[in-house]
Amino acid sequence: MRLIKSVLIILTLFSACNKKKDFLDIKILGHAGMGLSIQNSFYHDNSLESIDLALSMDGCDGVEVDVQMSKDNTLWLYHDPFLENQTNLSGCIADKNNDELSNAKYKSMHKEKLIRLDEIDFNKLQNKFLLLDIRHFNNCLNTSVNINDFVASLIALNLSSEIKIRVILKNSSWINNFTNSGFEVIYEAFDLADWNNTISIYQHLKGLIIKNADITKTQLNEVKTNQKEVYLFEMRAPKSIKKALLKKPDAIITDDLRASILEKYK
Amino acid sequence: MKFKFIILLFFIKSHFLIAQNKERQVSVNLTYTKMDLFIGCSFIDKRNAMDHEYSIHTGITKFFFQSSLFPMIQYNYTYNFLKKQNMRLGPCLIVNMAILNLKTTKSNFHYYPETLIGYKFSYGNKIGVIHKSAIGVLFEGFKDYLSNPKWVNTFSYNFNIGIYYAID
Repeated sequence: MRLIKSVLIILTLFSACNKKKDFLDIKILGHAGMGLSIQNSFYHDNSLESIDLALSMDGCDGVEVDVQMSKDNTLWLYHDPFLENQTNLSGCIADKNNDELSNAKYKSMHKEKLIRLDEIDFNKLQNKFLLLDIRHFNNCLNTSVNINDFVASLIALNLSSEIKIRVILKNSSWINNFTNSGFEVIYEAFDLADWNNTISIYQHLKGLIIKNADITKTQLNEVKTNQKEVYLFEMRAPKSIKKALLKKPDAIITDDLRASILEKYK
Repeated sequence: MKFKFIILLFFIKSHFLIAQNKERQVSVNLTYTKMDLFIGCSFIDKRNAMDHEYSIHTGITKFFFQSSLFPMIQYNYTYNFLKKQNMRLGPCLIVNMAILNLKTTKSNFHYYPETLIGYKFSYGNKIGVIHKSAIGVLFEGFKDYLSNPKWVNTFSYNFNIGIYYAID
């Protein structure tokens, strides 16, 4: 009898911990496809295969990708500053032309190709989010790439208005160039003080993107009450995904897409 | 005459069955895979140099941290080329099948069949330890957001440790 009581108490506690949360308004976006450097990702981040797999999944509301510009002013998807970190080439994307980059392959099991932004199947992004993390710095030459060329290359893609595009910038001096060209910009802040400084100058910013650990729920609500979108990133474990969802941001950019979908809908 | 022959056949068969050196074991084990760390139990049927192992598992992260079942069934065949009094070692073939329901607005089952080859090592008598390591191919199959079937595959691995108990 005592055993049955104990089992019932444990089951009650278990089900109480599992009570349904309302996370349905929060968008789930894949970080560079299926996640960045995550063990259960089938493909390398920013590869066509990874992005395609993420966008195929029911429950995925879009993806974030890392964009860098080549010597030929073409936009390529790559996360790290140096090519030798992840591919069979060395140097920086900004110093390579398209012919060289088209031969680049990741050092992964599938040897996925480095891809251009326009290689993504935009049909799969209809009514979904595409977050473009702009990598403006050429680490080989320690200079920024040409901003006007960058914006022009993005405009030339003529992306469908059905795709919810957000440009992520860390460099606040680039904000006006993108917003003046009609792009909706979200600013990647180190902390809330950084955000407050930036928003006081650039009030037309669409929103804030910040690490999950660097913002509290109260601070997040403060940003949202000013009609700004909030995106959280850097979460892998179920615990950190749950913490992020409980803060009620507009979207999370997750490194474990399956776990995040499960956490949102369970 | 016919009856005597059947009885004789029965005794010969029984003799061979005993000579086959059958043994059955149960085990509890942990399996580290590409998708999760699984905990489970197995039934092992040993016949001479061959082991047939049937297991059921659940993913620990999904079960304990996300309150969702991530069941996996496994069949493992081992041929023990090294078979001593209390030690067995040999190559093994592992076939896994795991299922995860991502429970979006509708049932959203993801299937994870997996085939691996590696080795299995066991040490002990009545009670002992088992270790398996294997590499292979993992598939993921699901219905995409347009309800079309989609399959992808990748390299995978299994590392398993467990404790067994010989039941006869």
